[in-house]
Amino acid sequence: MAESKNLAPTEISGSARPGRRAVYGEAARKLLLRPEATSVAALLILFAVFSLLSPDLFPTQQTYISVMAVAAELGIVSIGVTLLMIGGHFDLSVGAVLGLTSYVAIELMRDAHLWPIVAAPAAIAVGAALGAVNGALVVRFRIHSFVVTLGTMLIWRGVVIALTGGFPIMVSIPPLFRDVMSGPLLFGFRLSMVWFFAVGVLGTFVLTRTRFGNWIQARGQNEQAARNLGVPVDAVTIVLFMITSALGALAGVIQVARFASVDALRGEGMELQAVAVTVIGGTLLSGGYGSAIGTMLGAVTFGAIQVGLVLAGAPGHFFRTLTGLIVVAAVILNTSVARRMARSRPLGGFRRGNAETDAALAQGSTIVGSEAAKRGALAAETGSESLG
Amino acid sequence: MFGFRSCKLLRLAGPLAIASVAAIAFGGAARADEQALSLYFVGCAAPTGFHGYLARGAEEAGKNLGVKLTYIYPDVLTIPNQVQKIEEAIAAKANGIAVCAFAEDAAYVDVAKRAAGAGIAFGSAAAPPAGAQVRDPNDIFLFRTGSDEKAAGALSAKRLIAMGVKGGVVVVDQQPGDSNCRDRADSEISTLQAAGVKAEFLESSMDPGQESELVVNYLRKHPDTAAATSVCHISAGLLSAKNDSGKKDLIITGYDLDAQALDAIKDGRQAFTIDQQQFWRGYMPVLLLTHYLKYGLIEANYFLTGPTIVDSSNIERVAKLVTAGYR
Amino acid sequence: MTDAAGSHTEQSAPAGRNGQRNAREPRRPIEPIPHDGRPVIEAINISKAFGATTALVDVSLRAYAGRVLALLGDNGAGKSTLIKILSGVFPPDQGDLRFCGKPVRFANPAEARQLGIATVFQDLAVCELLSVTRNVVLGREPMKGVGPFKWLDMKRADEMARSALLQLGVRWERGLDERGVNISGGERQSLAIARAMFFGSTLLILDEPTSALAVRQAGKVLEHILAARDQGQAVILITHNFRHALSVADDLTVLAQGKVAAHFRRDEIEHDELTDLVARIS
Repeated sequence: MAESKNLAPTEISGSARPGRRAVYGEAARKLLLRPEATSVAALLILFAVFSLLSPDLFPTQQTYISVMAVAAELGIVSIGVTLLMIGGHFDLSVGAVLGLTSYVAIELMRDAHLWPIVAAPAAIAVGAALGAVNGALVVRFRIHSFVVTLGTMLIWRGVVIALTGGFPIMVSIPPLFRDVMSGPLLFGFRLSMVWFFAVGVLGTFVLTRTRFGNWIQARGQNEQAARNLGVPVDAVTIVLFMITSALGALAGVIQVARFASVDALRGEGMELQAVAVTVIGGTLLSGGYGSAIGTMLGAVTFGAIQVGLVLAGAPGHFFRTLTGLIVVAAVILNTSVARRMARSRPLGGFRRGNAETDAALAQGSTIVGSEAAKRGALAAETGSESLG
Repeated sequence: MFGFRSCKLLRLAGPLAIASVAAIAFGGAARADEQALSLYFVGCAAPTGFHGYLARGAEEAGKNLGVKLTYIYPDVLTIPNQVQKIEEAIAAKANGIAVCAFAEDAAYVDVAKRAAGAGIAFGSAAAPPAGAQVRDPNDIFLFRTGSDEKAAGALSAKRLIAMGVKGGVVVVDQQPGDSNCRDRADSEISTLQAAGVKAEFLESSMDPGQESELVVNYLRKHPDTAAATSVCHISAGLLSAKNDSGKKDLIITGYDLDAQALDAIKDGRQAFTIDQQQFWRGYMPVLLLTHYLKYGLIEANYFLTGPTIVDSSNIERVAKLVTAGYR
Repeated sequence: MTDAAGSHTEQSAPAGRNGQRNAREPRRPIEPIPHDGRPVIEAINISKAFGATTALVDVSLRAYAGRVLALLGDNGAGKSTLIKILSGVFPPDQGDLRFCGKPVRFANPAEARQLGIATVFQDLAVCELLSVTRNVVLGREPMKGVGPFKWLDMKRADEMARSALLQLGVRWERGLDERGVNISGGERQSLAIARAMFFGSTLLILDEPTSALAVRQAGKVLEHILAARDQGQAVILITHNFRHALSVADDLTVLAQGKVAAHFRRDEIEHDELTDLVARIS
């Protein structure tokens, strides 16, 4: 007969309290391990460089207003793309969705004479529906999302081109709507920035504090394991696509409010900019890991690059090239720092030991859920855990 | 005596009769041939938007001239795809083919030979090479009709100079990969520079938000900028930048007609736009093919449909025609 | 033998405390079945074919509470097909399944899970970039809040993770926020077993849990398997490794070419006999 487990108590580990320096050092290390840390670094470096190149113009409020205006519109789209990418999928159609839902919003206001307060949510709902189509195709036919959304991108874009006849359509926008969505009312900063922050905060909350967020990450990391544990993986996929397209529609509504028009190529190319911004922000292309805050920082970085290049007087033929170079550099910086941090060891003298497990074992409690074990564990926890 | 002459006449009557019947028949057949003229317009894209004008122009010409016109186009615009469409027209025994040529002549040499071999008139609905005025007798195309993008750029520049622009001009290209827009931009810049006006090229994006912020910051960097031209997209971004930067006297110019430009020219935010008059790019080729086939007429000069300027002086009239689909 | 009857109070809390029914949580607290002589699960004359290939022919086995059944056999012998049938992935073509004597048919793995049949696959145990806590509660996250506004109760999740690991006697050297990628293969297996048991299981099916592990880690996992058994779980263990099988199994079944080739109690066979037998019949 096989032996039962030996319950001899073991030496309690991590018993010495770590010193102050080690505690703060460990806190810093943990902070730097976060995916957002490296995108902050990229942003700071760019800020320094552009300020040096145009000291009178770059570090000014007008610059920040411009940067946030660019960051807000791109960032809202990118946060959706980020959540989806963490869940392990790509969406190349989000730019076309932006264009098509902008068209829907304008048509509802122009021909159906709906108020913006009705037309805008309707357009966003249409966006969510388009996203649901993406999700359903991916789930039902088990085709890679890259391919599915490449196809739907062509379809939605073709529809916009056909419906607009290739020419822009205009509509008169009530000033209140324009101001609420995008007006420069916050000390000169556009209100689109507020929408951007709201989406970022919401995205971060969903990712880190809800069970859906846990499911997103699980699906991106190990889909089969998640499925086996009862996570509704297919539903997660469809909802993610709906969120991404709805956010694309929100960005479209903001642009409609600001420019009072839609043209056939509205949103074209934004899907790839969103991916770039997402990767700058520390999200893995392979999925499973990422941060909405990082994406927000990435969007701000992208805006800073655009504005900074103009203010630095970069030659007008090389914007695309220079933007691309800086984006690649930012991603390399991000990845290499992240790798180095991941390999690092906790600082000496600071063992994040799970002393309470051993303490509980010492009390001989392998019986599940026994009150003694729980009390022992919790008592030990308050003793030795110094940083959460 | 009387009888002898009438006998002769009578003897002529037979052949005469046959000859007249033949003449009538041939004439009738010839007229039947005219009625059966079948022309093909091989476009660059589906007949919507910009290319809708070409298609409408071609169809109206066909109606007016009484010829059968068919508009065909490749789904995706590549040289092989378009050449294939031309060959389909040849196979359909077209009498004449006009092509919205978008590539170098070399791409069309082979298919032009085949068309010539099949006795089909073959012409181009695109502009001649820059500077070429008189038709080259060895041209593979019977005619060329189009708007000269370089001339368009030069026209923008000349108008700006005539307006007495003081300060710099920034030429904004939203699609740096597009060669037509590049021609416009380069020629506008060089014409301005030749006249001693500072002119610069600025690469931009199709996204109106990003473009607006780009231009606003350009204006901060170059506060002496007096005018901005949009070469490859609607002027929404520039208009927004003008608004946001507070530079009320910034001159905005653009290319092609659209609802945004019309509005802006009407209320003075935009100074002018350059119109290619692309309706003619559809109409004239059909006219030229028909008259060549019927009367053997060939153009001496290449026909430039544009550029022409639309500004506040003719905006009212043009606006109506835009709604009607002609401008 | 440890009494397992009153041991799953912890497990019933998630459903009760939040008041919300997680559709995938077992409907009533699952406790290991007391060993009353009836098998927890019984496969009777199971046959399964995939097109022209027969996977299983007339296979019968029984797993009892508090006993480890080792399922041995070469690749292609039908082991994974058999456990897929037991865990509800697909039904048998012929034959019956009985759970505690009652006939059952599973339409999907979720139904098997409802009865407490938990399967742990070798490389599907852990999400590498999630913390230990998040891994343990994945699929059954504790929530707090009201109505549609609910969010993760991380404190309770940490407690649940700690309890789950404790109950299996897993000695966790580092913090619960350690990511899955940083824990060893053996710890991942143990985590998966602890998770399965914590959320209520009557039968643990383990597919090659030690195959990719170094000797020391494998030893630990085997210890934890015994701990699970001691708490009244029925365990079906699939393995290639005869030594591992012999060190924990109470019963052994050998499959070859889709049929049951041999069945022993542990005290009926020794290592060398077993290897000879399997070599002969494979």
